[in-house]
Amino acid sequence: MTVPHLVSGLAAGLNIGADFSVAVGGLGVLSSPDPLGLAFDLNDLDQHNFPIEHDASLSREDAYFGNDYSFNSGIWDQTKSFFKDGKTALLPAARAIANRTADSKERNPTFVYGLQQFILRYGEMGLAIQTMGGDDLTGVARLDWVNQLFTQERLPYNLGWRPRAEPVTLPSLGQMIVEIFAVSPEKLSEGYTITT
Amino acid sequence: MFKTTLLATLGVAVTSAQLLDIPGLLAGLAPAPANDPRFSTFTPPGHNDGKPANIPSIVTRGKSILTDRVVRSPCPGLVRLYPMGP
Repeated sequence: MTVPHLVSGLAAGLNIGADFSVAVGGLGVLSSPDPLGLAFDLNDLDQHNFPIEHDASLSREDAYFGNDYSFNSGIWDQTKSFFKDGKTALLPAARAIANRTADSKERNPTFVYGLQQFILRYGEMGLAIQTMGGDDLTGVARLDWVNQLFTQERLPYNLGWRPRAEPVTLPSLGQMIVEIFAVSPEKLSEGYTITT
Repeated sequence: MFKTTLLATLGVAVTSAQLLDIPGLLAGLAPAPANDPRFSTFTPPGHNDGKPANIPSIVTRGKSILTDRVVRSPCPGLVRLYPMGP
């Protein structure tokens, strides 16, 4: 896919703004064997810690354990268990991220966590919440929609989901990264880790 | 490493922007209509899903990329980058 493919596809399917699509498309192109071709595919992205893949995913095992690309129901169940009453929210999102951090730190001797991984991990949580109709201030979205997105890699159109009216942009995602981090039980230790 | 990646990303983004018809691209940006058949046509992840079907195996940064894995991306956030269909 090319950056124009990404910009038009993400807007049509998820109402994601061009600013985010161009930025993440730039990351994708970097992963290509031929970056000057300005195109990439999803397999290109499967490179550990470069430029997007990372440890402590919400639904994938760490690269250290061999398969960092297939959906892992055990990992996802860990993440999902923090959300109650069928909804996502900022605090359980922060706790779910912190849990995955602790789990990888404990089991993976090669665990890498810096500023790049911090932005990606919190940004991905924000992206999942916002694209699934989550409120920017509370992070509340329907868990069944988010769950289907992860477990089936399928937009939950069949469950009533529709692209949200306001586009998902770098500012909206940045706001959610800050909001989730602000309520994280691990923000002090995590902040120290990513800045030192 | 992060700074290098960031700078390279910005470089690629700027280059991409220069090569694109930005006004034309932005003018057409909007969610697809609710009755767009792509929303209701779903194909589960399958073999060779992560790359164009007519391209043989790729070696990237010295790492051989398998071509028959059932995967759309190494991370769920990236699944949403896949514009083949919702």
